[in-house]
Amino acid sequence: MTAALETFGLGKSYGRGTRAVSALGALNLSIPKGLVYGVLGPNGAGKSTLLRLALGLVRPSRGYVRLLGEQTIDARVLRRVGAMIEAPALYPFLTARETMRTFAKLSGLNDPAREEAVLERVGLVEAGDRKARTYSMGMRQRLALAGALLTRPELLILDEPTNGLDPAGIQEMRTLIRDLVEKEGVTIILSSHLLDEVQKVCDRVAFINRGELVTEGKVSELVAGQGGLFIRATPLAKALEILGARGRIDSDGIIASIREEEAPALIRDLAASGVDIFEARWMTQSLERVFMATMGDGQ
Amino acid sequence: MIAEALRAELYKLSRNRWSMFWAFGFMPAFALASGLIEQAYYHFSMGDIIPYSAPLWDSFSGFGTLSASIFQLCGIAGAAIIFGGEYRWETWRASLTRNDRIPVMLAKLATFAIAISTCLVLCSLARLTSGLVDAALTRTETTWPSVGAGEIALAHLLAFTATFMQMMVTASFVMLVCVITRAMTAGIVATLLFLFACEIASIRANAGGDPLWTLFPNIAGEGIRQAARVVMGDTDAILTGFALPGAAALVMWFVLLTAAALALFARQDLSKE
Repeated sequence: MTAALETFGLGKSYGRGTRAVSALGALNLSIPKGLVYGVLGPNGAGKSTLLRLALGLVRPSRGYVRLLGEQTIDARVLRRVGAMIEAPALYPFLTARETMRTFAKLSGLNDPAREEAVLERVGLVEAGDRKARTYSMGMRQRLALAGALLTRPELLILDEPTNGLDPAGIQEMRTLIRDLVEKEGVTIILSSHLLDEVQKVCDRVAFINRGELVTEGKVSELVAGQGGLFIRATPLAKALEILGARGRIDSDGIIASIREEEAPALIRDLAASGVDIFEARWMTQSLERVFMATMGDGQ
Repeated sequence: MIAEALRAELYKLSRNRWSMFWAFGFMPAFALASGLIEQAYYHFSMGDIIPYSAPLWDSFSGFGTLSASIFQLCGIAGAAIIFGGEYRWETWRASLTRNDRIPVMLAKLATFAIAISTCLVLCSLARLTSGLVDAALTRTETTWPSVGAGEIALAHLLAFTATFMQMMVTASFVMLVCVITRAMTAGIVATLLFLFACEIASIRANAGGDPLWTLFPNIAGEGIRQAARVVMGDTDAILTGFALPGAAALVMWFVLLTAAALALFARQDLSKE
């Protein structure tokens, strides 16, 4: 089965000679079709560069990209893709309806009903005759998403899609993304800083740092395995002594790296040893913790 | 691809009404208003000091309205909006994920060509209208060129082509500057400076002389327009020898500047518009 996006030793450097800055090293990545794939990394990791390379907006310095099986990134393949890269790219003097009409003409699409349908899908029908310059950030984000959905894409590339959205908007975006994948078979590649959202919506993720792939895999597998018992107790030193190598300080408490079924016995042991326990709670592994552990707490 | 890009570009320009008016609508409106005011002033304040009217010469001169650099400002602004707008609004990433680069840029060029052609025709019609109003107000003798209708049409066509090509060279210069600098304002400022230099050069070249002066687009355009005047029956033109080299120079500049802009744009990294 053809992958949605494949990169082969893909790299991008800006500048020349000693002043060259590498935005992407030599990335090998294969993103399968039919799922939501998250590209995660700290600022400057190379996420947007990867997405721009995939869309042909930037030329690779090394390696190559294959988008929906095509190595030549031209309008033929791009019209099978919807994209929303970084901040919404909109013409301020056009209304939402005029924006859809412009995008439709540019894409060779003559389907006014579809233009209205995508505006309805992102909740902009009533504001459709207002110029984009009067829109809030969240509305601009929705309009850009409508533009990305316009051509019924097989692949949707969304860079920080929840930027500027309120909590209800984030929830709607999550539902929309899952619907697109599960009901319409669209493949979605997204980058986001909201790791909790990513965990809720993505099937697979790749962690990128300094232009290199750090790790990649199913979200369920990455967060599976040992969680930890968070204990807020006093004296901490005594609790740490009992835990030995299994314990480590985390903010105002200790995280005990144990299996969940060992938790009651550990709490009993600590109490029996004279440790006063104020709080003990089982923490499931989150993508954020995996991210922090993989990238280092400095990120 | 190019037809789709052209439809989108024309639609987009048509919805950008204020910019379109100042870029392509103001000069015809100005030509009409100034012509009518001028005729009314002569008629009501000074009497009919010019004992004849010449509407066809007026319409002919209307095609040259945008030939002077200062009057090209509107056209330059229009070109900058068309070629630099995507950098200004950071919208390349929206348009180039729907169509290919060269067709999109060529569509922009075609959009400018259509807009400026319409502007030139309207300028000519504005001047024709004010000439006819002059004839009606003064009831003086209306003079017509002494040549036939074919020559008049040819002269008008030549005058239109000269100014049109001059404006296309200006537009391709704006396009190149916008692509290099990724800035709409730079397209306006650099082109104005370039045209200012051309105006200074034309002060020396207006006396005729070396055809190399035709490398300046305004002198090349003026050479063709003066040749057109000869076709209309004027015997007072002095730059007619510049017509052919001028036409060649305008075509050369247009091709070179456009090719350079397209070549750069085709390879340009749009990491940040």
